[in-house]
Amino acid sequence: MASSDSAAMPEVATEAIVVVDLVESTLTSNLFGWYAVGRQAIRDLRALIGEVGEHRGLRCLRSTGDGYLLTFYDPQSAEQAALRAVEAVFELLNRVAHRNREVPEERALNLRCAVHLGEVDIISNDREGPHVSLAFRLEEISRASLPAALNPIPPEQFPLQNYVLCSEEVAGILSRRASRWGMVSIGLLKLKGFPGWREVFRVLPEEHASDLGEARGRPG
Amino acid sequence: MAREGDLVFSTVLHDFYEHSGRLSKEHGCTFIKFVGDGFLAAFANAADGLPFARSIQSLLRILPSLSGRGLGFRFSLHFGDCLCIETSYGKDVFGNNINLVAHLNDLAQPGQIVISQAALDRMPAEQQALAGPGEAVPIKSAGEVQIHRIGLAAP
Repeated sequence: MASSDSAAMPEVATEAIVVVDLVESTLTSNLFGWYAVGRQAIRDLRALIGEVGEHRGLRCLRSTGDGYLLTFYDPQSAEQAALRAVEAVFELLNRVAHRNREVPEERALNLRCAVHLGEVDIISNDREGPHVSLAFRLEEISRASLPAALNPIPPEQFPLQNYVLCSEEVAGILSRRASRWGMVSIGLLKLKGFPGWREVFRVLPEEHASDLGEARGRPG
Repeated sequence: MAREGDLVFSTVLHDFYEHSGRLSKEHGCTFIKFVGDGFLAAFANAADGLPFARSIQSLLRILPSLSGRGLGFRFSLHFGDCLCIETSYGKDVFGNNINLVAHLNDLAQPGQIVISQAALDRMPAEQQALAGPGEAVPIKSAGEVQIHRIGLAAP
């Protein structure tokens, strides 16, 4: 897994930023114990991220406590990095679903994922900058955020876990590149620290793309 | 306001919500949804939008909790179809026109209302006369939209 920066890496780079959060990890650790369940869960998640990111340009993998901040880099094309990031996230969700079928319920991993693309400051195995903050704001969006959104999707169409949200920037790339994933706008939201309304999209797994993606506006 | 702390901010928001809600009823608003430090309001009649915006703007002068803090309101007004339905969290409105009016709001300066041509066409002549020249602006997913601006600074 290439999780460290090479010497040739520029100080500022355009990377796909992914935030992966373990849903209710604190609750699970409190209920079943960090040493018994929590620690293994976060380690398993780290290992799975390493597997799915290894050949997709994963450059940074940093713990956020109950999840990870990842970045993907492509020296030829920033848009390609975004596509690789989305691909990696869905592969991660597939692997997590497979793992969940083989472990007791309390050891299951459930994720919330957000993907954004933007310029970041390269810190040794870490990233800084407003685009990183925006990726974290996206990850914080859940079904509970819908009442504060304009033109929101019906709550029942917003899963509680194991979903992927993306910014307008990434949605535009997925749309332009005619990617295999569908998208559905979940509404316009104000993200703390960022001016104006931002449209947030849910990226649909391939098998659901035709169910929901056509029903609502795609990015223009 | 961040320097003044959460209690002050909470008081300002409380007053803003309370008086905006009251004014919305007085101006024939059919729907109002508060979102953070703003709101989305819908009217059956486009002519009600501007007087409502003016009354909200006047809160900056009238309410002690809002005045003298350097606060400003940005307004946008559009006319179009939207779907209003009862959701699990109350009434809400949906449709592309909601996205459009939200994006128009980003164009407004503090103390100003940005009005789409569609809304201006349905406003009475005395309100239309206040509007500035038309500007064509690109709006995400709506293309080029003709807008007008009206300053709401209190006389």
